[in-house]
Amino acid sequence: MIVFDKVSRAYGASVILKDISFEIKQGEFVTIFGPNGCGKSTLMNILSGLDKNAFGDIRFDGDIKNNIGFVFQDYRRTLMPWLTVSENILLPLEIRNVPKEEQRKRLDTLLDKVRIDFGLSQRIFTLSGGQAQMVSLLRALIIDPKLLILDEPFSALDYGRTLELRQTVMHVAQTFNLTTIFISHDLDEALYLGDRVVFLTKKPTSVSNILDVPFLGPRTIDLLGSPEFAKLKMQALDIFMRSQ
Amino acid sequence: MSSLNRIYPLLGFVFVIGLWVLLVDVLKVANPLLLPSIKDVLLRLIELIANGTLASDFIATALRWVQGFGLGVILGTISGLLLGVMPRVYRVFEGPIEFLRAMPVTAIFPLFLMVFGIGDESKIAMAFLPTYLLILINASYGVIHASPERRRAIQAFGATQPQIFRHVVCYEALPQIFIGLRLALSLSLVVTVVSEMFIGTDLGLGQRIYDSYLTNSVTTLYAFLIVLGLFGYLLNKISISIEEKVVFWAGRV
Repeated sequence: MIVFDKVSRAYGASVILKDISFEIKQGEFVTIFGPNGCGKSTLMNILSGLDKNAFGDIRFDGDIKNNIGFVFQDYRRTLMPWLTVSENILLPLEIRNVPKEEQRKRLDTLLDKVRIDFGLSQRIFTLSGGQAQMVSLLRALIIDPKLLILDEPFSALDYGRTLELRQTVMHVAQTFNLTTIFISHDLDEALYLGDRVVFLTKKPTSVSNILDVPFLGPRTIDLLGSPEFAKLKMQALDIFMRSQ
Repeated sequence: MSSLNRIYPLLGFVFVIGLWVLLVDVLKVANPLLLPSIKDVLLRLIELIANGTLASDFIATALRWVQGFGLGVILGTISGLLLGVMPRVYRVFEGPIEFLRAMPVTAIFPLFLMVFGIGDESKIAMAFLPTYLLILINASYGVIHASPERRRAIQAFGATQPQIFRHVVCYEALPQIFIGLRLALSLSLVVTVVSEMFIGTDLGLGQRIYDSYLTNSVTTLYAFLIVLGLFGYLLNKISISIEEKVVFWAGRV
């Protein structure tokens, strides 16, 4: 369980986040939806401890705080081009001084569960955008995270690749029974992926509403065209419009 | 096509040599006191190689350059990286460093002579100074302008400051260090040769070139110029190929 309790953040006189409060249960997939620049990434920086200047409180169960896997928006600027694919994936373990043999084992175990269509010794700049973001995802998973945070991971990818990677993320979250926070500025994506969607307002940002997504079982692409999805989207749009 | 591509860079040399032969040996329009026949120059070059003069002069110059340049690269990289991670200290020293770098290094000759005397030390110091300053500036610039996203990413994995430095900052600074390296390479060679001419020495290509000028030995002068030109050209090629191997990712991200 992760509890956001009245989390606020200001830069000088400008208030970015104002009294953000919500909870995330173990194993839950929560999407956070809000307009561009509303402070979604700032909220994640606070959660992960990168930003230590916030007010309010974030409480974690157990050792979540030291086991957060991150997938960033800009894979080109967050992967290391001087390392190969496998060296990139293993970097978080290298930082934790995990022995090489153990690193190798963990990589093999991970790749048994998640398929890749590129070589481990390839250089990052030889990969397509989708493949590079897949490396970012594997890099986040290699530490066996208790919490996976994905910060608009597909915003730089083409539509086909985005659809494909959404399925991969859902598959991964289920397979590893991961607590997942997925930040998005695409309403369809937020509704399609999340068990719950947290709606944020414009600045000063606060939670405007939290919507339960009722679709059970494995979600497939057909869901996007279904009447149930259209109905839920209307409801979500209504929440969004009222919060602006 | 690929064999043709390999020939292109040679064509320029063929053209220059052809023009030389045309002016001196065919049309005979060049003043032999300014431009001797290429045949005479090459014969003189062979003679200099055979009697060992060239080797000892070349080694003397190369050694001075290697020591000055090498020391400049090592100390410049270390101090540049350190200054880069301490941006406040960098800002304090930026003025004096830029002031020194902007000053023509040859103007500091007399000062170096007073401090280091007329031996090899002053010539090595002359090659060292511009190298050190250029590498220092570029290394600290590389660190300061390293991608904040990569630092943040690795920080999110729990990296400590020394780990961030080792895994990200050093690599991010490398392409910029190589830019400084290539600039310093040619400048330090120029300064080494000029310091040999200016300060004087028993052995050294700069001294030999100046002697040839004083004694009107134009063929010898050209022979030494060709050697020095080839040396600089080769060094530049080597540094480019090392750069391509070491910072293979530069410009591809």
